[in-house]
Order: sequence, then C-alpha cells, then structure tokens
Amino acid sequence: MWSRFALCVVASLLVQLSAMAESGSHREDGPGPKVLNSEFVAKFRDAISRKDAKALEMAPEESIATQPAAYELRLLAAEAFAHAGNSLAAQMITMDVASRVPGTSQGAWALAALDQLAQSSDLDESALEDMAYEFEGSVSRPSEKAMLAWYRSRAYARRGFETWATKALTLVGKDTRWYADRLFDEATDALVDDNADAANTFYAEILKSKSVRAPTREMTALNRARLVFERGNYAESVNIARTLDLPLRERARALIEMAWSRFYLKQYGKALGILKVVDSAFFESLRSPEADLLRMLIGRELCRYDLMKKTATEFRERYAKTFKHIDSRRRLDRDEQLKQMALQTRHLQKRATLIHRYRTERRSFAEDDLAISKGLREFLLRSFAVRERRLEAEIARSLPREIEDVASQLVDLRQQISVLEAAALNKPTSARVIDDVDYGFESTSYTKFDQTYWPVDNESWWDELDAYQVLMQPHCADETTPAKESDANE
Amino acid sequence: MIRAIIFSFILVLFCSWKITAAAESAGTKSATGSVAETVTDEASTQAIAYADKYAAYLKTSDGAGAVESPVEYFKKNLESPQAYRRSMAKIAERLGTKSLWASAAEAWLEVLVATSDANARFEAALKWSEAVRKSKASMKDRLRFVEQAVMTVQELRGRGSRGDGKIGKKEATQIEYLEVAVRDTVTRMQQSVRDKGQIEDFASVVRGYEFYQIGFPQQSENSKIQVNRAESLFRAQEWSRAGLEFESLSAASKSAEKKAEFRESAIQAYVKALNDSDNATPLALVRARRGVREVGTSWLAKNLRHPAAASTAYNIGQSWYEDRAYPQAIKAFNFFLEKFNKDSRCRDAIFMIINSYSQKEDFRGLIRASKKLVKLPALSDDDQKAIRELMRRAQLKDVQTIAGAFGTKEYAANLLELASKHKDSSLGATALYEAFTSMNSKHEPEMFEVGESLLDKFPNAAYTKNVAGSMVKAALLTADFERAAKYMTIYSSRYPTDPESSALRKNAAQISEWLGDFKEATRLYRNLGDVESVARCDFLAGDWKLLEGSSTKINPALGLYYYALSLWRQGRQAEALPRLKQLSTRPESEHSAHARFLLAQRALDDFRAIQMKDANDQSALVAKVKSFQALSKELNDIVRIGAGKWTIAALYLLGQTNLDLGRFIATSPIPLGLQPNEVKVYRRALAKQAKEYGVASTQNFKLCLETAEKFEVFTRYAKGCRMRGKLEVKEESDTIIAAPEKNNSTPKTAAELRKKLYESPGDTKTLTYLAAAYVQERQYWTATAIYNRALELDPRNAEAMAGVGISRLFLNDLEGAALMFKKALAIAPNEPTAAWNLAGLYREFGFASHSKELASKRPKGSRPVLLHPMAEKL
Repeated sequence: MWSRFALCVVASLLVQLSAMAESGSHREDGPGPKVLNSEFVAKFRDAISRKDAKALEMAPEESIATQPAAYELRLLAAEAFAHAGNSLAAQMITMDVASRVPGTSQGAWALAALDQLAQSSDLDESALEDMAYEFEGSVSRPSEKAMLAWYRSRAYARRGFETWATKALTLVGKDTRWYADRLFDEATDALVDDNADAANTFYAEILKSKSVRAPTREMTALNRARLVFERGNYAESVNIARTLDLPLRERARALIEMAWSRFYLKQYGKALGILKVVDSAFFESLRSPEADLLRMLIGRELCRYDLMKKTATEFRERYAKTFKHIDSRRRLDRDEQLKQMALQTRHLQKRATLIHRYRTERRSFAEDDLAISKGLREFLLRSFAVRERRLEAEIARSLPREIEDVASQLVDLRQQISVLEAAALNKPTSARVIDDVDYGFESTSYTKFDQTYWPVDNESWWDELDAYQVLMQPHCADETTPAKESDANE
Repeated sequence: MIRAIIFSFILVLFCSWKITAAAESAGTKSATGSVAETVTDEASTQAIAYADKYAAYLKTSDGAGAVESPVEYFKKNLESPQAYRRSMAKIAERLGTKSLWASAAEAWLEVLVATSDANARFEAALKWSEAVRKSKASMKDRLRFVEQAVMTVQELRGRGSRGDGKIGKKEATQIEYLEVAVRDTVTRMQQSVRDKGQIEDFASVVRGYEFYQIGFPQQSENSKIQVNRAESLFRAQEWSRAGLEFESLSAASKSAEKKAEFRESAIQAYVKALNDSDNATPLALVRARRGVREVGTSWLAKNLRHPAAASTAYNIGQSWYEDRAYPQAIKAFNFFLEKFNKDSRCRDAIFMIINSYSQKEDFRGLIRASKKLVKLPALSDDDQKAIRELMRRAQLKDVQTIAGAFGTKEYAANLLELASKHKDSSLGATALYEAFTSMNSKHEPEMFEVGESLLDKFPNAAYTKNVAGSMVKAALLTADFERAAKYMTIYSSRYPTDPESSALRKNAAQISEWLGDFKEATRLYRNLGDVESVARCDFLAGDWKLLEGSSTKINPALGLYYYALSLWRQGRQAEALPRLKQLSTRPESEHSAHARFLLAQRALDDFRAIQMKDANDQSALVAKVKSFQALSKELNDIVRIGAGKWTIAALYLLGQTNLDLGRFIATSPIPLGLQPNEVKVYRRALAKQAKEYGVASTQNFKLCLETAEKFEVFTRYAKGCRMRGKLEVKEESDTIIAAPEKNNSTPKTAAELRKKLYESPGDTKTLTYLAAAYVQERQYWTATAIYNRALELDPRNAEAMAGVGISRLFLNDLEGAALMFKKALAIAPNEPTAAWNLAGLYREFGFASHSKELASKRPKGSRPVLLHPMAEKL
C-alpha cells in the first residue's frame, strides 16, 4: 500500500513538473526556464524520467554559468529531487530561489514549483511560513499568491499579529486550492468552539471541491470520520476511514479509532483484529496504550476474564519501566518511552516525522556529486541542519508539557485498567462456554483454538483490514450478558 | 521560604553584573546587526515624528490630548509586520535617546517578535534588556521576552552549529548573554510578585522558568534557580510539581538543616496537592501520593510533635487508600488514630479503615476492627449506628462467603447448619436470616418455617421487620391467608408505631373473619377498637353470651337486634320479649320480620299451652280462640310483608297454629253426664269443627311449599311444611355453621400449588385447584377465601363461583350457595359443580320443577368431584 501511495505522489508530481517543463520550454509564457539552453533542459528532464540516469550529476555547460542560469539549474535540480521523492530538498531549493530573486522569472518559476509541490506533498510548513513571512516581492499568479497569503497569515498569527493575519487570509482566493486549507482551519476553529455542525459543513464543502491539496483532502476526510464517530455513527466512520490513504502517523491513530467503532458496533472480533494490527511490528513505535484499555473492555463484554487478566499483565509489563519512572517521581523527559509517546501527539509527531524525513533525504544525496549546481549539496546540508534544529527547538518547547500530559493519560489508563482487572479477578477464569456463538470470520475456517489471528508483517493491509479479526469465543453464562456480535451496518 | 528570598536577591545582583559584561562583549559585535534595516525616508520620518509626539505627550501628560502608544498606532496603520518592525526599531531608538526606557523597551520587544533573523533578534533582545534595566516592564512583557529570547537562543544554536557539533564563538557569546538576560528577567519576575502576587502571576513566573529550562537545560539545575522555581510553583498552586522540586532540592542538599527544610516544604506541597485533588491531574495525584508517603514517612518518625505531623500522617493513610493499597492504608490510619486521636480527621480515618477492610473483602477483619473503632470518642451516635450497620452487613457477607454460591440448594442448607451451630449468637441470627433470604428468593415454602424461627428466636434483630414483611407478602401471593393473617398480626404487634401496622392489623382481622376464625377476628377488631365488627363476629360465631355484651356498645339500630337475639338464643325469652316487641314496631326489614316471627313463635308456644281443664272451662276456650285470632293475624301480617325466609316460616307457623287449634277442638273434654250416643254426636260435631282447621293447616303448608319453590327459598321451615307439621323446625336451624373447621391440616397438594402461585400469583387456575383441595379437606372457610381471591382476579370465573357455592353449601348457607351456583351457571351454563349441587339442593327441598330444568346440564360423566351429600343421591 505504501509503495502504491508513493507511486501516486510521484506520478502526480511528474505530471505537474512536466507541465512546468513544457511551459518553460516555450519561454514566453508561464513559469519555467527562460535562460537555460532548452536542449540541456530537455536532456536533463529526459534523464529525470529515466530511472537509471543520474540527472543531478549532469554538469551544465560553462557558457550558461550566469546567476539567473544558476538559479534555473537549481530549480531543475528541485525537479529531480521531487521526482526522486525528496520533496523537502525540492522545497528548500524552490524557497531559496523564490526568496532570493523575487520578481524575476526564476523567482516566479520557483514559487510556481513550490506551489505545485505543496499540492501533493507533505512539506515543512513552518519553513514555508518563515519564507512567506519575510517574502516581500510581488506575485501575479493567483495560486502562488494564495499560497503565500495562506502561510503568511499563519506566520502572522503565530507571532500574535491577528489583524494582519486576518487580512492576509482574505487574499487566499476562493478559486485556488489554498482556499480549502483556509476552510479546514475554519473547521478546526469551529471544533474548538464546540460547533461540530459548522465544522461538518466546512468539511463537506472541502470534500465537494475539486481544487484541494491531497494532504488537506485526506485530513478533511479523516476529521469528518472522527466527527461521524463522535456522533455515534460508527459504521459510517469505519467506512470513511477505510477509503482514506493516510500517512503512517495518522494510520496508527485511525486504526485505534476504527477499533473503537467496531467495539461500539459490538463487532468484537473485528475490533480485536484491528488491535492485532496495531500491535504489529509495523506500528510498534506508534502503539498507543489505549489499545490495551479497549482490549480489556472487549474482554469484559465477552466475559473473557482470562483475556482481561492477560492484557492487564501485558500492559503492566510493557510500561513497567515507565511506571517505575513516574512513580519514583523522576524527570519525565528522561524516560524514552514517555518521550516517544509524547512525540506521537499530533503536532509533535508531524515535526518529529519531518526531522526523520530530513535525515532520510540527507542520507540519499549526501554522497552524491550534485554537479548540476555548484554549492547545491552544501546549501542543502546547511539548510537541512538549520531546519532540523529549528524543528527540534519547536519540539523542545512543547515536549515538557506534552510529556506531562502523556504521563498523566498513562497513569489514568493504568487506573482504569486496574479497576477493570479488579472486576475480572472476582470472576472465574473460564465460565461455561456457549457453543452456539461463534466469533469466527465467515470466509476463514474456524479453528478450535480459543484465539487466532492473521499475522501482519507488511504494509499491504489497509484495504483488507476487515478481513483481520480475532476468532474469539465468549464465555458469558446465559443468564449474564451473552455479548452477541452484531453484523449491522455491514 | 526566607532562604528563597535571599537566593533571589543574590541572583538578581549576579545577573546585573553578568548582563553588563555580556552586553559589552556581544553588543559591540551586534552593532552591525540586521535590526538596522533599510527604512524609507518617508517611513523613517513618520516613525521619528510619532516617537517625538509620543515622548512629548509622556513628558507633559496631564491627561489631555492623549496620544496612542506607538505599538497601538503603528499596528493599526501599517500594512505589514515587516514595515511595522522597521518603524518600531526607529521609534525604539528615538525613545531611547529621550530616556523613555519603558516605552523603548515596549517597542524593542515588538521588534524582537516581528523579526525572523537570529542576529537581528539578538540585537532587539539586547536593546530590550538595556531599556528594561533602566525602567520597568509588565509581567506579560517580561514573559513574552523570555519566550522570544529562548526562541532566539534556539535559532542561534541552530545557525551557529558547526560540523563538529560545537557552536561558533559569536553565537556562543550571544547565547551566554541571553542566558543571563533570561535568568535575570525571570528572577525579577519572581521578585516582583513575591509579596503581593496572585496565583496567575506565579503561573507566569513558572512559565518563565519553564522557558528558561527549555533554553538552558544545564543551567536550570542550578540550586538557586531551583529554589525560586519551587517557590513559584508552590505559590502558583502547582502543588505536586512544587513538591517534586523541593524533594529534589532536599536530595541534592548537603546541609542537614536545608535538607529538612526542603523536605518539609515538599511534604507541605504534596499534602496540598492531595487536599486539592479535584484540580489535580492523575499524574499529579500519583506524584503527591507517592511523594507524601516516601518523604513523609521518614520525616514523621522524627517530627511527631510538629504542627504538620497530624496532617502528614493522615495524608499518608489517605494516599495508600486512594492507591487501593488497603493493608498499608489500614496500618497508616491506625498509626494516625493512635498518635493523633484528637484530630478532627479521626472520624474519616475510622471510616477509611472500615472501608479498606470492606474493599479487601476481609469481613472478619472489618468486624474485629469496627468493634474497637466504634468505641472511639471521635464518633457521633449516628456514626456509631452506621458502623454497627456496616458490621452487620459484613457479618452477612461473611456468612454468604461461607455458605457458597447464592441460590444453590447447598447454600440455604449450609446456612441453616451454621445457624444451628451458633444458635444464640448474632452469627446464628445472620445465618438464619441469610437462609431465609435465599429460600425467599427461590420461593421455597420452607422459608416460612425459617422466618418464623427467626421471629421467634431473634425478635429484636434489625431484620425481623423485613422478614415479617417478606412473609406477609409471600403468604398473600400464595393465598396462604392463615399465614398472612398471622404474620400481619406479628408485624403489627411488634412494630405498633410503624405506619403500616394499623392497616396490617385490619387486614389480619378481615382475613380471620373470612376464614371463619371469629374468635381471632374479634380479638383483633377489639384491639383496633372496631366495636361494630366485634359484635358482628360475636353474632357470626354464635357466641350469644359475648354478643349480649358487645351488642350494647354499637349503634342501637343493629345493637338492639343483636341484643334481643342474644337473649333469645340464651333461652332468656322473657327478657328478650320487650326488645323484640320494640324491634317489631320498626319499619319493615329483615330484623323486624325476624323479631315479629320470634314473637309469633313465642305466641304459638303460649297458644299451645292453652288447654281446657274440663268441658266447662269456657275461659280457656275463649282464650284459645282469641289467641288463635291474634296469632293468625300476626302471622298473616308477616306473610304479607314477604320477607323471604320469614314468609315461609310464618306460613309454617300458621299451619302449625291451625293444626294445634284443630287438635285442641278435636281433643277438648266431654261434658260430664252425657249419654254414650250423645257423646258420639258431640265428638262428631267436634271432629267436624276440628277438620276445618286441619284443612286450613294443610292449605297453609301447601302455600308455604309453593311459595318456597316459586321464590326458591331454601329454609328448613319449607321442610317442616313438607312434613305437614310433623317436623318441629327450630328457628336457629338455618344458621350458618360458624365454628372453624376442626380439621386444619394443609392439603397435600397445597405446597406444590403454592410454589406455582409464587411464580405466578395471578394464575386463577392454580388458585381454584388450591381452593378445591381445601374443600376436600373440609376447610370450607379457607376454600371460600381462596375462591374469592380467584374471583378478585377474574370476576367471571364460573369455576370459582361454583367453588364458593359448594363451600357455602357445606357451611349451611343454602341461600348463599344457591346464589353462587346460579351466577356460575349464568356464565358457564354447564358448570358441573354448580349444576349438580344446585340440582341436589332443589331435590332436598323438593323443588321438582327446578330440578328438572337442570337435568340437561348434568350429562353423564359430568359428575363433579366436589359434591354435597344433597347431590350425591342424584
């Protein structure tokens, strides 16, 4: 699934960049190379499209070593980086050129490339905000204008300049893709104001629009699924989530939410199946302790006190070191597990992921001879280092409070799990089994084991998620609550 | 805390020195910094002009002609933050030259916020610090500066990092300066609010220290800073975080005195956290609980006389309790109670000890502890009562645990065994009660025995009320009315002041009356002061002696009748006569008809007594004739009234009167001296005359029978008429049998049927089966009550109606029986019990026409089980 996702991104980028290239080759209209030899440009782009070619190692002719040509070469390099999936490198180059030569054809091309890049890739948004904040050049094309206005408004708001932020926001044109981001922000504000109806309206408007950036569309759909969940329509929430192509960090969270939906739909086998996926090595670093609580609750519904006891033991063992750390009242940031969990919170996770991406991209070109542009490698290494530190600083500012919150939630979960476990300890390990209730999956052969699951060892699972389920026999005596699994809304 | 103040002053002095030194070093280098951006002449002129205008306003301000602060003015009037920061830099410089440092600082802070470049930001921070050193800044601005300065430090670190991981010299110097500036600012923030600061002021200081910690994690470990931070956290009411800081200071401190001081502060903070638990996060609570235990326990050992010792000891117990570590909680609270037995929290500690045992399900431990604790003076009467109740419940739970799984057969058996082993102890009572509860829940009839045993052996136990109430309910549901009345009586006599008691006693009396137990009913009615019902029951019971007394206490309208009748039935007719005469003059009614009949009966006796001594005894003859005339007239009057049974009885007496007169004439003495043939003639004449009265008598008897058949009056007088006077009918022969059944053993099938009724009390079929079982056991009053219960549930139940009929028939209530049979047949024309027994009744009285009508309703094979001897001959 991930490879499919990456392919989509690359394909979309290729289409966009080819369009840019084509318009550039005509020189007289649209953003693109104006001073570079069109033969070289064509050769370079051909090399980009051929997987075996190393476009970035192509040295330009001596005769085109002028400043505008140097910028154009960098922008061509950005095309190559984008093609290779190194969108952050492409972002750094385009931002740099756009800031250095505003009002020139290279500056316009850089902005257009940046705008296109942002349509389909997750970029370093705080870098974009910084760039937009200081950018004072004039821009004529509506989309780039809207992009700058959008990030500028966020930068202004971050500094507390609300009036200017609001003013900038009015420049985000309705006919641009950035307008959807504006609506998304308004939906977030509505949610903060506890106005879910208004938020839902905004989300619906975004999803109706054809001009929406891919990341924005995905987040909108996910948030809408969450709203639907909040309103108790669990089946629809699951259906929406299943259609989404989410980034990894959102997938882990979405999985837990889907498991909750299945739980509320009384589809315990499916809920446990999803929790098994969450437990897989693939999500190891993103695992939430909430999964244990949910598993305990399912155990209670199925009168599987053995499962509850096992889960409680595993929970305690998994977080034993962290609990010892908390109980001993040591500094929370010195516990790696807590730190990791704090980094999973939405706004920190985004930054942590970016740091990881910067490092991954840096490794991919650190040893390359980027002959296409003199000093490009040094520029990128320096930019990446600055950005990494900037992101680290942002994380450092939020981390202490976030760790406190995460630790508090973990303690709260421990308490809830203890209460559930205490209730389970008063029950027999196994009660009379009701043989006519089978939590098996229709298309899978039912085994006689109490519990079995589909192992998850790769990423190609999202579409088939509903096939994963734990075959679980409820142990409720008939006079208690035989928690029958519901197939409603399937 | 004093130590913290001294630390703050030292810190401020140190910072001031450091700032000057660092500014000299970093400031010179930043003279070329990018804060001095290119500003257009026009913008620059405007900014300077506004600064001058504002400066003039500040220096001469008397409140008139107010000038907006540059920050407000330019924020409103400039297009972008970039233009704003350039203008603010100009204004700040200008205001500085005019020594308006506070306004200059305000402007430099705006420049700092609006600037991206790290060097320019450093320069703005430097300028702000310089300006603030010469003036004042608000708490909000100081915190804003700290945040921005820390961000600048991070930016400088990022930009100044070299390949080897070290920071460039320039950036290092800048960072060093900013560290001092930030520390100085936060310290001053803390100093400025120390005396009069509000919680939110200290929250700002805490935030400032947090930023400092983010920017300079190494320096944050400095103990002086830590002391200030701990104090600020405490004053910001961030109790558990303050506790952590103090605890950490205590651990790091080398001086024993300081160690103790910080430890006390830590305990104080943790205790505050626990007392403010509603506002604490789960993490804060964990920290406070663990903290107060770990720091407090060792401290307490050496400081028992300290004013905070009691509070600490209590909170240690509470922290264990909240962590559900009950054995430790019990130990800690016992320690608290032992050492601080006059503390106001002793009561809470006691209850938490008891609850700890309860949570552990250690019921014996709970009882043991409660016995000791309940005597402590900290408890009010209500508390003691509550603890005793808790002990009782614990005992119950303990018993339940011993007995095994509730509801099983063994459960009740185990409990009964336990109860018999501990007969005279409260454990025995508890076991018995639990056995009762178990049986009651399973609807086992043995529950009554166990319940009665409980009421008998432990009449004063707290739950006897509940037991009696449950048994009443169960008895009523199972139509066990005798038991119901019994338990109602027990309940009402044991709890006379209970609001339900009076109603229950009334019900008990009513049920006893239904069951024909008039003696018990009378006792209960008398107890209730219901004299009318007492007299009624004496009457129904046929206890004439008692009725003689009770009748005088009720309304004379009925009382006179009862009184006259009681005298009559005791054979004191002479005394009864005046009362009967009095009654006979009353408007026509059953009672006056009865009285007139009794008078007539008496007159008949007198009439019969008149006999001639000899043939010359003319006075006797005259008396007899007169008496005859008077008696006939009276009896004819009664007949005319047409009061059912009394009409038939009067006709019977009329027949008897004529018969007697005829006999009187026929056997009258022969005058002396008559010749034999004259005697013959004389006797013939007498016979002729006597015959007329014989005929009249026959006519009376015939009319009597016809009327009885026509109006279906079932009275023994009708049988007397049939025998044409040969049968002497007594007035009381129609009386209903009142004495309760001698045989009061419960039918064999009753237990099973009652179990069914417990499950479904509205099952009329089962009720009629049960009633029939009682009919077969000749317990007709009980059967009637059960049939009536079925009719209450289903008023058109023909089987129950017929059941009431047969029961009444056996009780000699012939009229009542016939009425119920007819009602049953009206609903179900072939109801066998009704058809057969009514036919038997008709046959008994010779009502042939009626008997024939029923023949078709008695097909072969329909002979019912419940059959009265009158019907057996059919």
